Amino acid sequence: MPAETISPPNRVARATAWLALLKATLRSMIGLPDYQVYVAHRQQHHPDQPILSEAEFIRERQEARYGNRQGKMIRCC
Amino acid sequence: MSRLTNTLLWGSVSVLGAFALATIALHQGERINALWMVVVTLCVFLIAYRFYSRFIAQKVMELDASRLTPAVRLNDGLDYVPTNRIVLFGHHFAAIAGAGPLVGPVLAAQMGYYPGMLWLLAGVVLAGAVQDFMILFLSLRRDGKSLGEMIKSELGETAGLAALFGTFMIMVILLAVLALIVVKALESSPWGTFTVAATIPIALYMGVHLRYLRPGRIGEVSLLGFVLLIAAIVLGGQIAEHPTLAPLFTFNGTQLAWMLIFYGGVASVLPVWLLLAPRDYLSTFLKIGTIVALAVAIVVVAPEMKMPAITRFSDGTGPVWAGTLFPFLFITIACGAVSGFHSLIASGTTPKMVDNETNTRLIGYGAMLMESFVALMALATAACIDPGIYFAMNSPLAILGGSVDSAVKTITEWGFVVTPEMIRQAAQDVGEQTILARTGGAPTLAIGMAQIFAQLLGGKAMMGFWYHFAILFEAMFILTAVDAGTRAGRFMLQDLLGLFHAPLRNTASLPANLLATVICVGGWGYFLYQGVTDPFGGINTLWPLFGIANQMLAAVALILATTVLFKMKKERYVLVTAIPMVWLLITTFTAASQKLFHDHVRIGFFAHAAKYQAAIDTGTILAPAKSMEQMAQIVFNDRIDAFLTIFFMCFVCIIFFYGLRTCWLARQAEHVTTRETAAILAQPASVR
Repeated sequence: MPAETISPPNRVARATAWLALLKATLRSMIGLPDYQVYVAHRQQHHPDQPILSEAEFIRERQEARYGNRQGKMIRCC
Repeated sequence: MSRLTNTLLWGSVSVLGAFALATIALHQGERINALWMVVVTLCVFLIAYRFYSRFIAQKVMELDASRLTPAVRLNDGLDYVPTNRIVLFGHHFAAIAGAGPLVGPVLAAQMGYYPGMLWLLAGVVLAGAVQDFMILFLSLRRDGKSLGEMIKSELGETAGLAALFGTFMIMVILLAVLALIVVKALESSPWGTFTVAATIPIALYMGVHLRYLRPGRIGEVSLLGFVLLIAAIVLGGQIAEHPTLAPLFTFNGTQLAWMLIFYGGVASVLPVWLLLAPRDYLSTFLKIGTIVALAVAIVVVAPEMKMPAITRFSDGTGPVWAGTLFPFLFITIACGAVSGFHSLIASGTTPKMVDNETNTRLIGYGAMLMESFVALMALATAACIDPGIYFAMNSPLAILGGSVDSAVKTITEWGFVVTPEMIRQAAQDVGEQTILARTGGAPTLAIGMAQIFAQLLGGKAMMGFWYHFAILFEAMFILTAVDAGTRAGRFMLQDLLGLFHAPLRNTASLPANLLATVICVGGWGYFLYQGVTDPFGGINTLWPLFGIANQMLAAVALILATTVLFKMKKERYVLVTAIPMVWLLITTFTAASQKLFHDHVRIGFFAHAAKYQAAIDTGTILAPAKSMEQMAQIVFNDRIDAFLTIFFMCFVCIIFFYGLRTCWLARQAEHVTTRETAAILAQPASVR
């Protein structure tokens, strides 16, 4: 919950945190993880390797979700 | 919270739930408000989540907050990402909730809302949510392995191979039945056909926009797509009334079936960013939005349920689908109560994103309760429609006769009040030429939603809009499922074909791809075509087949879960998975053997084949066949359906046998024999 982790100083910050959570939820519904989290992860753990731009990141995620190399279902009946 | 307030709180939830359930039970024969169903549902789910899922989490699984999840250990920022549990709940729910929970309950409403409601409540709490939760947990403990991989590693190679074959055939039936629902909704409906067809250019434009014009602007492009969709619905209404344009979008079932087959083949080889991805975005948001809107509308409008609690059709003579309450109710409502397909989703992307083991309770058990809630709302919506209209829409033409008058005569004989004006008026209200024999759930739900939404916004003038909005929303995610399912089926098939001829496994090879696509599309296309030309409406044959297959997959998932409990030396808790497993095995095998051997021609495949074969032998032609070739085709179709049923039974038997054997061996073993990834615990400092 953002309310716990971010501990917003005022109402505006609290509302922003909830909006961010809603946005992240909507994006995760269509299989898109957070781009900033990805960038932070690459910078921290693989600083020597290139980082995908946001557009490339979306392409890569689309291909992984729908290109379906393992024959996995993304959707249920 | 103190112990006393806790007891008081849960005590009052229990009393409220029991009171609401008693209200429904004691007022049978009178009309009651749909809100009672909502109250019962909420109370039952709260109690089940608070107590039963906690018992499973703490005692059966012993979830360990300090044990690092695959998302944490294998974090790559792409597939494996530790994700906030609310965000992940959204991801998982969007993946499991499709057309199924909206269709099954609507079809089951022919027996009244009461049997369906009880099965949904009991089924989800004791079977469906347990299955989802267990499979998510098993996959989480195995680095996010798929169901097939887990069956292979825990039950052995043969069982794994059987699972691969079985899943592929289930997929074929699923796609056929989904496509059939779309055909039934769009048959001679220019308004619906135009709007659904318009989603293709809209999605193509969105795809190009997102890739080349303004990359990354997903919110913007989805909003734009939504506005275009609404415009398409409004425009569709104009086109349906236009004397020259309307015929261009008016098709019969066979034509629509061929279009869908062609569409499925082409769409599944296009690049994913062009059509599939943008339409998936639209359909996902539309689906979530509509589900929320329906929930709000039911609570605000508080409609009365007009369908009797139990109708005479629980004796097996129902027009929508044939067969007695046991076992057929339990396979007609699959999704929403227990759905085997969820085991593929729960072992897909979700386990790779769980940030803490203890959150699987909310995601696995909780999201399934939510799906069941959607199914119960669909059931309530169907029950709010006049029963006369419900049966006019859902009975096949072979039973209703071709005209409104013959339909009224038949339905009145069943004891439901209906007049020709009511039927014509209902069609006119939503801007359709006819509503007769639109079996398949989508149109019925659309009428119900239109009636409820119209009370909230727009009144009668808006009913046509709401009806086609509801049709569009179902058709959209079904088309997405057809596209994505054909792709998934193609890869599964290539995997299987690769066993016989290795080069066919190469997914980069165009000929291998095309071959697999053609076989896959041909497979579901065959069953779709058969369903469309069936005089009993196709749903009567295909929906039970799909239900049996889906529930059998659930039984297989529960066999795996039960076996693993034995391997974990947790046999004292084995009833948690063994009871739903045995129940599913009993219902599916009873239903399957009735589909094979029942003497009624609407139930038994062999009886139906024998009737047509006897007619062929004496040289007579029975409707709907118009020639001897068609007669022979019908007999052949019956044999294919029977063969498929036998195939499903064998597939489950093989896995059940290996499951039993593994349980036996696990009991003999002196220690835990399960194949989990070794536990790595968080450093004490980082434990939250």
